[in-house]
Amino acid sequence: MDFFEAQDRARRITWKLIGLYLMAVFLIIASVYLVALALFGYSGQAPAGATLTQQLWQPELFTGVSIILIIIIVAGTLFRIAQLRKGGSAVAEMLGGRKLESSTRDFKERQLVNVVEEMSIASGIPVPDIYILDNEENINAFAAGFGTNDAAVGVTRGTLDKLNRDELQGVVAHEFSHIFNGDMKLNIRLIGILNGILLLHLMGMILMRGAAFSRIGRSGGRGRGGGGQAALAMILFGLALLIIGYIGMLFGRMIQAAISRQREYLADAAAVQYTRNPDGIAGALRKIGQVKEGGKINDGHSMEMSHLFFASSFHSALDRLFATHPPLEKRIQALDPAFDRENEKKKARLKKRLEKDRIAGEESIAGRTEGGERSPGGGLGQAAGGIEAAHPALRPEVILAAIGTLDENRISHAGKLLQNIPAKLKEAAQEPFTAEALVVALLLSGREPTAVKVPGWFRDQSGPHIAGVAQDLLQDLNKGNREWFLPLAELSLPALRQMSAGQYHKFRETVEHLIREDKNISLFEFAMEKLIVRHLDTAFSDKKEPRIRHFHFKTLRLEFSILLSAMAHSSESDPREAWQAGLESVKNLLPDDVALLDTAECTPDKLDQALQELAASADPVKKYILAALVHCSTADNRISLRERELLRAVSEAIDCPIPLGVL
Amino acid sequence: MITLIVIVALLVLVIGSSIAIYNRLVALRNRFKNAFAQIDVQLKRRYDLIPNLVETAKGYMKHERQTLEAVIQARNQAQQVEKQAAQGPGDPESMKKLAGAEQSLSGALGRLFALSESYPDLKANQNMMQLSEELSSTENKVAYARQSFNDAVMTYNTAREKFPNILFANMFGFNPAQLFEIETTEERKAPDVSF
Repeated sequence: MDFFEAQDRARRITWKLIGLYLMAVFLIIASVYLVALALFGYSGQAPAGATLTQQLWQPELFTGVSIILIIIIVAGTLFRIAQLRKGGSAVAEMLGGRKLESSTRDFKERQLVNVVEEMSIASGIPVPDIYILDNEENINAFAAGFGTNDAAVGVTRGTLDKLNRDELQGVVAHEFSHIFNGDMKLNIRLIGILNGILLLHLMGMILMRGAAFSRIGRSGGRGRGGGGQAALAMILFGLALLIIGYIGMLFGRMIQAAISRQREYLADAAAVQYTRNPDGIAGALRKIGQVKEGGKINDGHSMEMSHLFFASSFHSALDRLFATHPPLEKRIQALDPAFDRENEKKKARLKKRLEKDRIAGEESIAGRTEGGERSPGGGLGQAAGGIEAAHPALRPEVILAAIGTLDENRISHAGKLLQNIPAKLKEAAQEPFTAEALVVALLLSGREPTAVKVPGWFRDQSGPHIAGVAQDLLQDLNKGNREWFLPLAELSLPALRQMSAGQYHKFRETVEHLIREDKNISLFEFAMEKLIVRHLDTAFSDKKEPRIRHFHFKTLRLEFSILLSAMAHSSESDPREAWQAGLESVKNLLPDDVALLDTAECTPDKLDQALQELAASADPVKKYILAALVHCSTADNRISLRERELLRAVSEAIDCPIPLGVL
Repeated sequence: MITLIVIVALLVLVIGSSIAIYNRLVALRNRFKNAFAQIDVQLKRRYDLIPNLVETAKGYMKHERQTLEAVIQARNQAQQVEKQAAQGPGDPESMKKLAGAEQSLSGALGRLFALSESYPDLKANQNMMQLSEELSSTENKVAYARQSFNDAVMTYNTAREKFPNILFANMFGFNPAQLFEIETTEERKAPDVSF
């Protein structure tokens, strides 16, 4: 299953979710209607001598009840989703999370930062914000956000204290798989829905109290029967709402559980796939099992967000129905067949499967080296500075299959890459002040020809301190390896997100100016712009993701030819051949009238526009266009630096993480 | 029935928007608290550097014990105040105290550096050079983080004072937050050296 399929599947589950939601709403309306009927219905509205059906079916009452309830539920849902639009950090902060400084010196916190950074660099997503739930002693973790842009990963204090590095890595890999599988968006919608139903419960409570209050007030005053009776009915109605709200909550929890459980198995399996180490995550689950409370979270919000967590954050008497997570034993069993000694058959079967996996894994590694050999001196190998482990196969299928996944090789490759980057540069990425200088230095060093001095206007605008740091870093970067540049930019994102809005505004102007200043926008600058500006824009404004406008290739013809032409011209061999290879891969889907454009027609502005349109297209369209671009870039059996940077820009623009080693 | 619908719709609007306001204020408050963590990290680093600096300077500046002690004292004072301020960033009293303590620490350090001008050996000491470099770099970071914190506080205060937010703010105990201001003119001025 590839990245786009996974996204698509998550979307389909969203439909299932909406279906269940509507069902729950209907059931709630029906029960409230019946209660209302019992309370108010017989007050003489139905004509005397009406049949039972006529008495039971009063359209006016039904419409009224429906409208009221729908207003309440929908408003509650929308309010909540609007709040959570702010992204993962909003959720994390709601749970009482403390944002972890990437410059932390605490050993355990440092370890967590390293694990998360390695995994993000390896998978090609921007480093998410990391949160610690300081007050939670049990082992648990969560991922939240709308997409790779605004993701946040959080763990409890207990997780840091009790798990070793392998187990922590397993847990983080599990959370990353939620990010890749589009689970987070689903989760946020789920929270919204639960809140809508919760509001009903709340309204019932308020209504009951209000009515009780007014009744006491009135009976104290004049004590007239009629008003008292109406108030009594209101109290009863409020009580009914309260109870129905509660029943609604049960529905909500069942929905939550039904959707969440499957996703957990999937994420566990993915975590093993990413780390190739079932012991890590199984060990973490075992340690959760050793504590009587399991992964219990004490924060008040944990109930509505329970499906977000790594392990069950609460327990209920009817665990089978309401559990958002499969039982720990089953999860461990699925990961570690030896855990269940009774069931030899299962064990054998799993062993066989694992063996098959191993063989398949070896084959794919063999395939990879073969692919590497086909491209003597191919793009990455030389730049990698002796890191051979994650040599990409230059077969487009392999590249496309790798999107939105991780494997052990890539993670260790990322680890090595990060180790190779001088500490000074890495440290610069950890604090907002120096991170800003680092980005400036990266942009200057990435110029062709490389700049050696920070421009005077920057010194005047941002002050001598930051310019001094930038100058210093620039010298180091000029001596350094170009392969560090994009990872360094990714590493600096969490620090940059800590700027205030005012600081960001200035910084953004600086970046734009630096990119456009030399009149010649290179693909590196283009990729940097997409990486930094796009990600930070989501963090600093309420901009929502673009609505899908393109469901078919046809409406994207021009954009497609611009992108593919730019890619073809980036090839070091014959652009026409590359173009043809790209076209070949999607030829069944495309009308014939797209032609290779001139270099002059592929200006950065046009590319930019094309990417914006691409970002607003449906997943299958994105997938095929990306496939064409990958085919085009690998047509001559090597990916040039330019091709790699363009692919990176594309992947940033459409939010699809292409892993390290491929790019 | 229609009146009931209208009442319910209004009720939903009131409850919903008050929850929204509450949550927004919480989010903004968290944001400036998180922004203070940035300052916190840098200040702590600075407090860690100062004893080393004094230790290094001691070997050369035997006759300046008073100045050195004043630096250490100001440092200890600031560290203590900072610990309190980190408990509740934005609290007017502790923020003002912190600003005061930081200012006197900067003053003491300034005097130390001014004096060190007359000890060429000390100035040439590798350790001393590195330490003072690191100190000034942390100071820059503090200034940057301070700006970010103050921006966040400003956003929070503005959101808090808007109508109808102000009604909820008082009800739910959202107090106005205090900016972290240090008079920069004195800090930036090169120490006057007179003989």
